[in-house]
Amino acid sequence: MMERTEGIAGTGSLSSRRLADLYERHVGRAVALAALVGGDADAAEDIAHEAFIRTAGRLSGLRDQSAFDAYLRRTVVNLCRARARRASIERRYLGWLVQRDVDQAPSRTEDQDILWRALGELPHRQRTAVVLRYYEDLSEEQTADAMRCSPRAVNALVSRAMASLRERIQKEET
Amino acid sequence: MIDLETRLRETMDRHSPSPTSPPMPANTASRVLRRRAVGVATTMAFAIAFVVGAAGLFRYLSTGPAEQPAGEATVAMPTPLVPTPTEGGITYVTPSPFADLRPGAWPNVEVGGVEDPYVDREVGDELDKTVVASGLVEGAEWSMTAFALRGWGTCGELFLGDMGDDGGVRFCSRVESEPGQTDLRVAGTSFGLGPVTAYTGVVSPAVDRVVLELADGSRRSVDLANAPNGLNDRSFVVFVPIDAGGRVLALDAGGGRVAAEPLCVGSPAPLEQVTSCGNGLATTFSAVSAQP
Repeated sequence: MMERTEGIAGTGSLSSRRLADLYERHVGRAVALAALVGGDADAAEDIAHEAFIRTAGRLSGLRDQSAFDAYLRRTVVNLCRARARRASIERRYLGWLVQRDVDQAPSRTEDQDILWRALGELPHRQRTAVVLRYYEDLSEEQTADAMRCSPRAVNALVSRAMASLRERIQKEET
Repeated sequence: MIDLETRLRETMDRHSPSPTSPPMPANTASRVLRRRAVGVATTMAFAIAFVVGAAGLFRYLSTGPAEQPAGEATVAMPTPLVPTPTEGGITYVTPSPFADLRPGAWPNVEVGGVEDPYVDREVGDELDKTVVASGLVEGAEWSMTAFALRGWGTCGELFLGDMGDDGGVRFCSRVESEPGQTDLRVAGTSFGLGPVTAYTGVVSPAVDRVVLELADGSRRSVDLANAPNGLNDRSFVVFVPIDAGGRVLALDAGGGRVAAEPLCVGSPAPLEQVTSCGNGLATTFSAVSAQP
């Protein structure tokens, strides 16, 4: 779970040193989150970097500056979602091309992991909820805040995701 | 046997990149500063606009508005589109929360609460689509847009899933293959991934309100979304039980029937398929897999 940032409250301006400190403390975890939510390890670093710039850029406007990690997490989730939307549209138009690529793609080591593969095949929103709940160890309320939806919706998303994963595992392991 | 949550945690830990931060790129500080400058400028612009607006309002109030009956001094509602138990003389059944959609059960619908509703943008698609309503149904996002489409009149699109990935439907006021009255155009859609069934449609200015009349004779009012600028026809969406039968009624201001269309969805669509029907149906959009 991302740690809370102490000691930056009340700072209207950020020195380069302080910015580098913030970067070092938070971006690594944000990269991991982006990789799990977005499912693309190559793009994760770009997403985390952009999220950091956006969050740090409005630091003085944040209601609770000590909750930098929560704002950063929400920005990462939003950017992953925007990227997935673009990818969804691209896939719709290039479906045949993608299908061809998938057919020709060599199986990767991680594809041997049933659970990892099943996680990657979950709808984006369900995967986001699962990652925030079980990787970031957030409560339903915190997850709802990061995803901008109600805790009840988070509960429904996680329940569906877990049911899908359980079914998939049982099917492949029997 | 290790439980699923533990396995999931271990799997994600194994596959996630190391949480060690990469070195900060050289231009980060300048980009942060640029972003902050833009933020400050935007805030100032809003503040100025607010002050100017407040001054205008103060001037208007101090001179006194023209007198008008209280009933006409209404403010347009945001777009609550689920059935609301507000109409007199009609029996309503308030849907209660439930875990899954069994036949006869009403879906759990929330209106609003979606920060960035999905709008289907296609390459080369210059349509001016305005989101008129959005929310959650059974935990999944839905969004509805309205727009004008040459030759088709006023159209709308309902998409399910935060990326429209559970499928969608386009409905229009003029459908060439469906001659007949144009005061009430309805498209019924079964989203197999729910399964969730929805009825969407568009009504002409002659229609004052829309009512869902179920097979058992009970009725629910369906709120109409405000038409975006430049459009006269208003649209609506209502989520119903997956086996709902009955009809959609369009009524005029006096309560007289303008038009009626049957609830046409028979049985739920198979998983990951989307099926649609109705005199307003223009296009059905299939579900899109999350991963290719």
